[in-house]
Amino acid sequence: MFFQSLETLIAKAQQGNKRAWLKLVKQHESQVYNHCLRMLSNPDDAMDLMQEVFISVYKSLPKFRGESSFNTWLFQIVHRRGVEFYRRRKLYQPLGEAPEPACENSDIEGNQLAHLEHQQLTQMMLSLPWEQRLVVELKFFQHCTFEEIALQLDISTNTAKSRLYSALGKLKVHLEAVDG
Amino acid sequence: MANLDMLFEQWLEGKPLSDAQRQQLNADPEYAVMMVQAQHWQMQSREHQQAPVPKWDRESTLEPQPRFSKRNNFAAWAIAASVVVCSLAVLLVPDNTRDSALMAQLAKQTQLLQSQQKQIDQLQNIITAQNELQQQQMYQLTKEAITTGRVERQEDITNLITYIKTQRAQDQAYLRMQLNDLAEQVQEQPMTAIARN
Repeated sequence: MFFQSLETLIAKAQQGNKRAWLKLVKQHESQVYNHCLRMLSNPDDAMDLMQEVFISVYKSLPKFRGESSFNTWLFQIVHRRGVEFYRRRKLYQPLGEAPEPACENSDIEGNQLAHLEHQQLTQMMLSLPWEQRLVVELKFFQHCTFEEIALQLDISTNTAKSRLYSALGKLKVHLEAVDG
Repeated sequence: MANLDMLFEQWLEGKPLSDAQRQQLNADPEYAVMMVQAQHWQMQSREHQQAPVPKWDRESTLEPQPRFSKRNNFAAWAIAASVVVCSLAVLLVPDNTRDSALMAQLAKQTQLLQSQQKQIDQLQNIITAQNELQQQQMYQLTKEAITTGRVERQEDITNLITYIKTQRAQDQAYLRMQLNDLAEQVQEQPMTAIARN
């Protein structure tokens, strides 16, 4: 059997099957890493956070009963670890001084364009407080509904909406500043 | 307003809106601006390319097995060994041995049993100490968790106050701007248009 369902992988990983666990990590690492990267705007921090997340997931895996989807459960852990990571990092480095990620692609034109887009996205994200950034990430990049956002962040749908609307208001200020 | 809010939410959730509903949203300055901002984020999301995950050690996420069960196993083995020795002492002593040899054997076995018992006691002490240590650590962890919770709550309250202050400042600035606009409009009116009291 080459392809195993997610449920099978989870069940095997819960029984201590190392290969199943590594496969589960491989299936979800890109999603988690890109989420961390957008939230933190720094590849090294994103890697550190991703590793912390998967360590937490491994520890909590026996408690997973499948009451919500694995993705929802995983991202609940991502959000908890993310807040802790952000608070810890905030003590040492203000967000505005976060170094820009280095680009490894050698294609100069495509590179510059991608770099500019990335820079703009980074600046837009960094202009938002953590809670609003999280709602923007879930709404526009993970295409979650307000109910899903509320479930993942353990807040009410109204709070999720008000956070998103505030974020949109802040973007207006940011774009006005960019356009002069 | 509530209707507009519902329409805007529907639009954000990706549900199709009729032209009339869309126009209704666009006619409202507040929602029109928010729609533009949301479209900007949607565009960023569409153009955003997923970054490849750098090479990393996935096995580092595997937790080492707890060692503490080994100690308990050791205690169990010690008890089992002493039981085996006692059984051997009872079963393997030949019936035709002389009394003195039997007495010597028994003395040896008793000594052995005593030493085994000592070892078991020592192991029990180790386990008790380990439990106490664990309880202390749990207490420390709980204390830290409570302290962290308290600090987080304080930070949240500070953030909320800062947010409210910022909002108030923005509202005041907006009102000031509106008043200035009104003042300019009044100034630009011809004298005949201004009511005379």
